[in-house]
Amino acid sequence: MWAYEKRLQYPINIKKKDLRMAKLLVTQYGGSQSELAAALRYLNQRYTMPDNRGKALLTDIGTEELAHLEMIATMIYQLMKDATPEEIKAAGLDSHYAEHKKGLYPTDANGVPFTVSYFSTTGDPKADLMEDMAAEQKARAVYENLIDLTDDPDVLGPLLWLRQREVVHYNRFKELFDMYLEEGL
Amino acid sequence: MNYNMFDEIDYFTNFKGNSNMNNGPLSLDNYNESETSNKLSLYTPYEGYTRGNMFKNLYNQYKNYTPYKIKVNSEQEEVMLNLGQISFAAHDLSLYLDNFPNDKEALELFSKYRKMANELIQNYERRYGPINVSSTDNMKTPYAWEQDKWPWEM
Repeated sequence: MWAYEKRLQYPINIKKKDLRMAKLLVTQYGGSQSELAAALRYLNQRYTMPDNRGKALLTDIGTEELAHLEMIATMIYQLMKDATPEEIKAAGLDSHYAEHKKGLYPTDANGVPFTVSYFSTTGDPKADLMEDMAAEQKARAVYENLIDLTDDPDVLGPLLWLRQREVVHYNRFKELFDMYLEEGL
Repeated sequence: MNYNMFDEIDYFTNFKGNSNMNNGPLSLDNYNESETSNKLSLYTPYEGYTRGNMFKNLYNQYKNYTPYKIKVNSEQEEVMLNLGQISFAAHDLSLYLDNFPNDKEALELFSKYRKMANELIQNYERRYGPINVSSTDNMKTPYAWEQDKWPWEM
């Protein structure tokens, strides 16, 4: 089971409204390299890991991704919070507003809804871990793209932090992959 | 914009004097030492928290971006920052321990940070309200869990 902690894993206080950035950030909420895809991928794959190292690592990283999902949602929420319908229209978010008002909805930056086909589970631990390593690298790349597109320090801080978590997770998955390879698991 | 100047000394000189709990139970004076051993080379909890990475050998900088200083605007935010950094230190060590369950050194450090984080969470809950629904600080009317801001609110 899971228990919620009523706090963010890393603080977010965005003071400046920025609808353009909200529109782009949503890709890490519901796009192909999103935190949602990451959480579901690891929490799905954990059941067929061959030993307790794999079961623990996928459970713990999968759980952390849910905390990152909340961070991304918080950023989008704060960036949009004070926007008027006119500003939303001008930013090209009127189609979002028509369906969701200022509600959060997992899509990519082009509005394409989230789908579980963004990840796979083969039941083969090395194949799954190799996907996980690639997923962390791709998410790191998307965070770098997003970092390149803003100069707001309130947005950059959390984005750099989330990017670094992809680096750590990649390394942990690679360590486990290498051990499984060596041990023939 | 120069965020390169930040270091831990900066953090402590900036924020220590503003708080009335420097020497109280929430003080981190005894915990902000970096831990180095043969195998593990770790940042201090605050350095690790600002980087998103406790492990010096894994840190990977993007372009010329250095870690952002975490600003606090109230004592509540400062207490939250203290528990956030220690809790993060414990969490990052726990991922390492998942892969290396027999590393006694890492386990000792994890235990130290986890114990400290648990105390900081309890202290926060007593002062400002529950972080966990299981907290005994929930047992009052109106129901404390739903009071105060939710994490996405500023």
